[in-house]
Amino acid sequence: MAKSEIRDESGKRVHPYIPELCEQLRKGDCDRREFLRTATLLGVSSAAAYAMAGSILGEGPVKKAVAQETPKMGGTLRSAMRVQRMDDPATYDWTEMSNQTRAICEYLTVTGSDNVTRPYLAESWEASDDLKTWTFKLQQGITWSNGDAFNADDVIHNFSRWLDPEVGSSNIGLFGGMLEQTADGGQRMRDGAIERVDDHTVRLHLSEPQLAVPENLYNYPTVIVHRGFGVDYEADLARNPIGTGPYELAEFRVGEVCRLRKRGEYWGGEVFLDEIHYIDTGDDPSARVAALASGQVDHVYEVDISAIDLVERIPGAVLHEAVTAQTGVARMRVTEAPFDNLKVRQAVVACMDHQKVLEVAYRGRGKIAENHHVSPIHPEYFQLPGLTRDVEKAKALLAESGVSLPIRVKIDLGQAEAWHLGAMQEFRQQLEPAGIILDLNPMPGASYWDVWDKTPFGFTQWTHRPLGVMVLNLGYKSGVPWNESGYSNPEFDAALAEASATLDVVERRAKMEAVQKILQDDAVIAQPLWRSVFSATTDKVRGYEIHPTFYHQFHKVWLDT
Amino acid sequence: MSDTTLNGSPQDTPRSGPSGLARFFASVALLRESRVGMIGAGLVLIWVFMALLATLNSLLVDAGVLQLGIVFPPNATFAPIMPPFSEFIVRAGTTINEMPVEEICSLIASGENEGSYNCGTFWLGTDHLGRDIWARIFYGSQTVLTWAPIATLCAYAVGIPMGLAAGYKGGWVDDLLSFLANVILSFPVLVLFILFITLVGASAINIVVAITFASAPGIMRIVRGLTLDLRTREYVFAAQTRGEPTWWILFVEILPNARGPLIVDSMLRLGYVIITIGVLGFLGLGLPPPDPDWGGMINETRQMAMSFPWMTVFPCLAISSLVLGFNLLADGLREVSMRD
Repeated sequence: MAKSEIRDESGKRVHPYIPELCEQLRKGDCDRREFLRTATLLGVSSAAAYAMAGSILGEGPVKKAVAQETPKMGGTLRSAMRVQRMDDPATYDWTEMSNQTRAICEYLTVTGSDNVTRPYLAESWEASDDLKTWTFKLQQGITWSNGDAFNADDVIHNFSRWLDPEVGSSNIGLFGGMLEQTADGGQRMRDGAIERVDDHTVRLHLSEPQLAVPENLYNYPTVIVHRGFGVDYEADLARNPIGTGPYELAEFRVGEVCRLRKRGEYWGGEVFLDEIHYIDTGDDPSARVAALASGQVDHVYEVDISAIDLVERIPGAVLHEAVTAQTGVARMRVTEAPFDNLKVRQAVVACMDHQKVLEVAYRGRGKIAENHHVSPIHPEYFQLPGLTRDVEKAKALLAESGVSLPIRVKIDLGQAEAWHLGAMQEFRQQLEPAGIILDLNPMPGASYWDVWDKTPFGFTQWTHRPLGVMVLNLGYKSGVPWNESGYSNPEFDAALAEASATLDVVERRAKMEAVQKILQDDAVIAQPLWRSVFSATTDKVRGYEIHPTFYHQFHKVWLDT
Repeated sequence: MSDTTLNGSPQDTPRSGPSGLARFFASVALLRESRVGMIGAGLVLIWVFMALLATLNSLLVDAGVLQLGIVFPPNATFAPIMPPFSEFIVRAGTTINEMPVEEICSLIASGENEGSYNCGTFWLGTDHLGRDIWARIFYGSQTVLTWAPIATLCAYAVGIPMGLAAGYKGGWVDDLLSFLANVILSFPVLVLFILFITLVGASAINIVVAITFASAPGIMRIVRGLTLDLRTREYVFAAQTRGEPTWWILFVEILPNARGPLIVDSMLRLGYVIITIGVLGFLGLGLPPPDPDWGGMINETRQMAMSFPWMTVFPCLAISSLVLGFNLLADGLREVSMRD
């Protein structure tokens, strides 16, 4: 590659894509949020990225919106959250588990509630021009709570564990470019996929370009544990709580309490809380709110949509809202009658009034979706013409399809999320005038996950992912394990592959038009909304920001007592 | 009061006695003497009337005679979370339930909502999805008053023959049936329901089967006890001497004479069945949504009960008033039958 290297004022190499990104921001092809996200992923420090965005957009230095208060030291933050197992962080499958660990052990990067990824245990990183080689420089002078120095061996040990099929970590799916096929058809880490450059530098060698590496390093099971974990001592963090974080484990009982105590010294600056207590109030969301109202806790992990009015009424309680790409889709299995008939599927989706479902089922707290599973908060979202409910069109489509009316279909849905039932009750009303009778079959959440990829018609929830192409690759590409609708369209696959391989956000967005349009026209899903999520604190809790995936960062949190 | 209904008077023709209708009115007249019984009957009749009216209402709406009906359609979503007595005010040019408001609502001529349309009042407010709670309770009475009596009747249809057979035959028949009944009765009823419904799925028929299965042993025990007493009566011996078949003796000689306690028991049992249907609905095992179901209404809105109590309180009141009605009716009937 003959490109000359670009360097910033301090002489650090800048990824060659950055100037183009700046140009796009200047022209308005990408917004501030996408600029910050991509620039920081490519190794620009967040302060520099914010400054660049500021100078390009003529904002001037970032103003501090609120008067700076002096944080007070001390106090105990009590949080109502499930207390779950704390054994091997690589195998965590609930966010709650990672929150218990998050103050003890740390990550290489941290993605804030603004979608921007910042350095953490890694001081900085650099990506090669082709995005296949990633070099991470680690912070120096960090010691583990047992006195050992943190270095590259710790990071290599963690990667080796994540990518070892024996460990059973879900992280294996995040670093596909570091794997190779084994003789028996399994996967394992390729030799030389991670290189130890020196004591405080590691380099990843991927077999395919990937932009989201730094973001993936803040996925909740990628917490960095000590290099002896699972080798010198048992892989059980509750018994061997060795970490680099500011807190240590003081008491831990699954289903009851997890008590964290401030440790002597911490490399990352001052933290304010003396202790963090996670108190398990059970599965019932209203019990958590009751705990907040009675002053038993200061923070609630998640507030259900049904309880937001209640929280707003509690004196001294503050509701925190985050807009997310969490959603639910009424997906039709395209291989099963009557949904193997495209006209029937198109008639079904034509009946949906997205705005009404959002208002009725989710109190209007979110954004409407457009049946293609790419959210407006995704960087590559292409805005297609808006959808309107059209019953006449649905009737015409049904007449063309040749099915006899009224047509009766049954949708399976889990009861774990109350809004699913509300949304489908409303959808039932909307389908009726077209001659489609929707029967609802609510089932316990666990039972739904037995049939979610088999039932002809089902309502499935999908969680937040930072990129639009991520979900499409997971759920709509031909033959992938999570392709719950059985959808298979070579044209769509080709368009999606092309978009996924495009680094440039503007180019990718242009290519997403075809992808989104094909999926929308093929009417695989009726997708009503993108939902907001909520948590709550008392007004004594300061410096807290809700994270769209409920990751807790209490470093800057303090109590105003 | 002379007891003509039970012993028959010499003046009547010995075989036929008073006609069925006349006997029915005679017992209603008897019930009138019990104030408690009358209150109970009144409560039950109010709900029966509502259920019939709901049926009539949907017939009229379907036939196009009424547009929105006497009450709102129970599943339509109007305006989420309105407190009781809210006026349903709609802007011009919108549609309700696929109909333009101009045709079905009245124009507001003055005031702050001038130019908008008033489409009625949500007497009990609306729920979290914006459905009219009054309409859902109204239509929910149909469900309860259809399936609770059917379930109770089925339980009696199974329990009575078992009890008669066990009491009359005795011996190994009694041992076997009583053992079976004890096994079922030793199970916690709620666990039994939940197991059954989760195994076979929630539908009206399955709920009837579950309730029959769980209630029949109790009914069998009562009938067995009554039969043990009645089988030594002279008229039973007479029938045996005449050479009547066993089924005749059981159903013509013994059963009619056991009816008093059974009628009282059936009223109480109806109350329990209504509660059971409510509980199943609350646990999400009742009739499939969205059709209004009192227990289901409580379940769907209980998370918000602290913020918006009306969503939960009114369905609760509906269940308790109907159950209270049946219980008072049972008390009244018992009181009347004690006078004989």
